[in-house]
Amino acid sequence: MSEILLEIKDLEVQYLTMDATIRAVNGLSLILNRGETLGVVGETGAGKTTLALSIMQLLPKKIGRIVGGCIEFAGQSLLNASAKAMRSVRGDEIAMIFQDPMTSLNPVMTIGDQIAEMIELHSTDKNKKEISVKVDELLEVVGIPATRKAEYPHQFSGGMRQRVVIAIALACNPTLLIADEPTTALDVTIQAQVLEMMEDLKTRLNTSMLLITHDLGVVAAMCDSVAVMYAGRIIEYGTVEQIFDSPRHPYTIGLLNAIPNLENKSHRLIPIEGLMPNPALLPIGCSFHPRCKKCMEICRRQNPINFDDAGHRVACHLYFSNTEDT
Amino acid sequence: MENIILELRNLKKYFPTPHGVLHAVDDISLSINRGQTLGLVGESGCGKSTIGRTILRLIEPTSGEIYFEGQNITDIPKSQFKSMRKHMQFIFQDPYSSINPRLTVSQSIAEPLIVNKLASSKSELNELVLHYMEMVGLDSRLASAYPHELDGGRRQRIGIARALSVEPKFIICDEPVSALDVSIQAQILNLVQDLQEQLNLTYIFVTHNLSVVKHISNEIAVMYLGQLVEKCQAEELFERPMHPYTRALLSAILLPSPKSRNKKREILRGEITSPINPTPGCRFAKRCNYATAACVGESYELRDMGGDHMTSCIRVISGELKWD
Amino acid sequence: MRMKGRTERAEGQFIEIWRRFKRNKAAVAGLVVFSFVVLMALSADLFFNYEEDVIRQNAMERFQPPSAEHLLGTDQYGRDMLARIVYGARMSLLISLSVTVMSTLPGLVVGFIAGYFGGKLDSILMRICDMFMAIPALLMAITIVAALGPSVTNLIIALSISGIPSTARFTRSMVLRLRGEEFVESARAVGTSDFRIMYRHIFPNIVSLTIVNATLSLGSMILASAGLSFIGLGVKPPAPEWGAMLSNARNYFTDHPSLLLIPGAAILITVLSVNLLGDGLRDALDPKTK
Repeated sequence: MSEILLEIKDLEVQYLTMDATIRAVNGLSLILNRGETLGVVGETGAGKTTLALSIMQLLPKKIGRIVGGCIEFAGQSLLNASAKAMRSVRGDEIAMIFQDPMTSLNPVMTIGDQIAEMIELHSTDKNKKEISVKVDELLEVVGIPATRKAEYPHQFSGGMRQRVVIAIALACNPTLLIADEPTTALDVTIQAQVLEMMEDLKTRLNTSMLLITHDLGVVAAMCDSVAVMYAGRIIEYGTVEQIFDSPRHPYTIGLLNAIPNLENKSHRLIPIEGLMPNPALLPIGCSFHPRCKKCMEICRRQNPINFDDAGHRVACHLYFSNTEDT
Repeated sequence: MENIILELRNLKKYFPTPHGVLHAVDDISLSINRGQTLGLVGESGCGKSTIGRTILRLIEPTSGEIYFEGQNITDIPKSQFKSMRKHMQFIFQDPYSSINPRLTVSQSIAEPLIVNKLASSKSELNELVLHYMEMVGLDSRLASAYPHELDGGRRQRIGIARALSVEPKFIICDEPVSALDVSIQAQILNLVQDLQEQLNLTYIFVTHNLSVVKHISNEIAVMYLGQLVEKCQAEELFERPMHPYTRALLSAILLPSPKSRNKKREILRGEITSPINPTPGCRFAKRCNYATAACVGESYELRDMGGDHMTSCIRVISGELKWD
Repeated sequence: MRMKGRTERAEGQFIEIWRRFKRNKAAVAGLVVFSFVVLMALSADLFFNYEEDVIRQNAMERFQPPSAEHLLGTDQYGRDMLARIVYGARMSLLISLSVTVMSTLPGLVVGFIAGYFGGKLDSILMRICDMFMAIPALLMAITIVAALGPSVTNLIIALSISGIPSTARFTRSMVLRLRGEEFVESARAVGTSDFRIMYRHIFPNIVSLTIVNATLSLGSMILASAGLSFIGLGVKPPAPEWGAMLSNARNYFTDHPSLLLIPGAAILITVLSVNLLGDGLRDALDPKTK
């Protein structure tokens, strides 16, 4: 039986702006096992980044608030953790890779210093020499020659910078790596390089990973299990095979149909009509119902609970009515 | 030959930079038939967007000729080029920055009609604006909305309506869906295809997304650092890619299917550089897994390998390198 | 038919801006205080007689403490302090508003031309601006006034000239940024002329920041005109001006500090209110803070 590393239950996060209360995450639950890679898929505004920031306790102060639910990491609640405890969790236990490698590095520090700083912050017992050795090691791991450590971020290309960001994230051997769209800003051939490296690291360091992306191809290539997010909830969860080979939620099916298929050329794509609901004015009932082709009467009234079939969970009324019928 | 709508001959665009001359577009020749879509694929910095902008003379070419319906349009003085822009239009990549935030939807769409004097009266203008809004699937009640009230997909529809409003024959689509979510992307791709059928439009579709380009194009041209490396029919490119770079690009596509995980990938070495003061020879050689000494030194041109399948790889042309 | 909704929308935008402005309490306070100062300056004639109350010296009533007759007391020549402050507001506002307009408009034009057309023209215009900016604005104003002779008109000319380069640079940087935006390229792609691009696409996008910038410079112009008058290069006595009043009160500071504190407070409150107003406007007009 695998061991639970991260457990989120009924998480609710809101942003309070002057105009409205934006319900970014609405009753989200998920479990990540040790050593596993979980893909969180969703489109813009689904609440993916909010989820990552909530785990890291890095929601924008005053505006972002966790109003319900709990986040447990390695058996400890992160929501009750003190600011000081959280600082040591961040980096030591959980590290995060952001989407844009251009802005997440300090332009006036050499990359070697930036990696060294991370090590210094979290392991005070190391002397200069040991830190320097560790920096070289890390650079080697992400495929950058250690001789380049005295260079500044602008001297590196996009893919190389993302490697530096990953090296910083790995500096303290985190148990969990949260990667928010790590390859979205990169070209395809560079993306292939970076993903191959991440895959390699995952097996070597046995790091668990939460991979947040909108790219279904990246998820299919990298993840063990997948959570599909829509309007701040997980609407479908399962193994990669379950999600891609037998998707159940109309949204997941719609997403997969909307991508141009390389294998068989169909003349027209099947888009999902309509738009992502405004998180300040979520529809009553299932939040996908206004766009759903299979919308039923109950969908307009009641938010569906999960239908669980051998670990493949889907939040959709369709499956409940089916079971009732048969 | 009657059928060729646009032809580029030895088109070059060089930019001076502090580090040397950047060969953004370096000796590109190609032609497009009426009613067809040519996909232009490549990674960032390969010059694919520069080609589009050069055709519309948003950037002046360094040398080479552009023929539109048989007429050399590189000779036309810039001041008289305006009339050509009625035949050729551009759809921009970023629906957030390509729409003036201070104009309402109807004002934005009315602009090209006003500056090209395509409406004789105010009421005709209003009618035309509503006509084009309907054509791109924008609800007429959005006429007085501002762009910031709309999502990316709707904004991109404004951009398309603007391009259509001058009744062009030819449109350059510069990554029109790469800033959009997949579900919206499909809506826009369908719209672009429907409009092509309705209006018999010709497209150059610039993108880095190979799945999209296969879906939409008849022919595909692959670019690397300012040069074409391969050009053929869309299906052919995916079935029989010839150039090692094309093969690496295709192998880097991640299919939304867990089965693709076991596919053996061709991982390239190194990163894309910018084509500043390039040395003669194959520009891809530095990253190529199949490069030999012969690849550096001489310049190579596209060669037809039969059935209009062109490639520039010297080792493929010479028959040294064969793919199974 | 639908397009008639446009005016409605434009109104909607103003309401929106006002709604955002209202949230900033400090800015609202700034607006109230500044409006009061403007109102005071406009209605000065209703309460005081310029010749009688502001100019005529009255040796019998020197250094009077506040009373029912003289709400703020009198100065060293027996003139009513309140009347002088009120007329001083008129002078300060006249100078600072004219200077703001006269430095913003030419600055806008120069910045627009330099930013939009670029190239040699841009280099020449910007080098000229650099030359002007190398000299501290106040020092240059002093030089100009010294050369032309102290008078209100010359003060306005001097301060306007010294304010043009910074507005030009500010405008140029905004135009330069917008010129690179895709929507400008998109306008060009559909055949829009340069002139139309400038007034239809670029200008509306910089107008709000220009207003904010002008408002904030209004405050510093009030200070600058007071400063120049303080050293005797602006408004000539006996005309009331806050800076000049401060200067004249220096000798009596120990015995009659109110002569110094009252004009000082007037300057402080007005400049502060203008700056708060400018800050509030910036937040309300900038769609990014939404």
